Amino acid sequence: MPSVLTRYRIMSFAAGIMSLLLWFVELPVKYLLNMPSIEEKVLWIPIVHGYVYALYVLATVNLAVRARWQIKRIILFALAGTLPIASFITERKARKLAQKL
Amino acid sequence: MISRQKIGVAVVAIFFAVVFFRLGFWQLDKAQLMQEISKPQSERATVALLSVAQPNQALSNDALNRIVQAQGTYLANLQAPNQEDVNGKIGTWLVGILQVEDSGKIAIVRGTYADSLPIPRESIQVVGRLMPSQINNKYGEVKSGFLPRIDSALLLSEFGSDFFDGYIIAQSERPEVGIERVPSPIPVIKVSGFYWQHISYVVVWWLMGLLALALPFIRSKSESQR
Repeated sequence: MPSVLTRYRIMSFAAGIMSLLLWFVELPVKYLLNMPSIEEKVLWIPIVHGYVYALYVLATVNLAVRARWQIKRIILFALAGTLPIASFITERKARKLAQKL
Repeated sequence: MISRQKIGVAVVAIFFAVVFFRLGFWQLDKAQLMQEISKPQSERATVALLSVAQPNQALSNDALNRIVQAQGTYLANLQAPNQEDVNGKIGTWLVGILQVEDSGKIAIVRGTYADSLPIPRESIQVVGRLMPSQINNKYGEVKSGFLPRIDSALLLSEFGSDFFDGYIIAQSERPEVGIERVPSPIPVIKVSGFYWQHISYVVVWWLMGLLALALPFIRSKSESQR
């Protein structure tokens, strides 16, 4: 269980940071500024976010199976990886839930 | 006996899985399209300007980036400062306004601007790449003889109507005048980054599809262990 929780915590931090970059750097540059040269420089953000999010979902499912979570919680935790800050909140929540087991 | 609830859960799970897998295939198609676009294109045959474009008409996709040939006389030489070529070299370009024989006018990027280049009075044959009009200004100051961007819309007031859309980057002029040409190879579209972006979305959507199929079993396990 501790290693599963550690994996989830690492991925939730990574997904949280990538979501912050996606929402507050890449999306404003792409849709608010008309500067292709800068857009090219931040193109790595959605790519990395895509792969990090996939790993985050795997880590969430892994933890959910071990901790025997209900479907609703699994879906909410999986979706948290797409929103900025949300995965930091679920990381704290996951730690508290793990302590109760 | 399988309960109605289990059948309902299975139907919902399959529905979401199908939707997610379809979204994955949609992103895969987009990735393959990006890869197709980024492949190097082969040069098409040189054609007469009048066979692919007409004055006062928007350029067709077929005409864009083609090597065209036009015959006519120059009406004026203008300067287009702060222009960047495909190699990233920034400089002032010499833009001639060519009156095409028996047709309209078109802007020709004759080469890099050099002082004391007279306007040729004889008929000139130009061969070069037909480009779309520039959208953004490269140069802020508006003054006579200078072009902030190469766009036929900016030339109408001074040279009258009947302009071709777009402009030509000359590769040769006959008779030759000994001017440094601006390079104009086939444009290469840089989409490699976008390809991997779409592939990452494929991974995410298909993973979501697998998760949708797995969720009912995860719940069954948790319920049976309670």
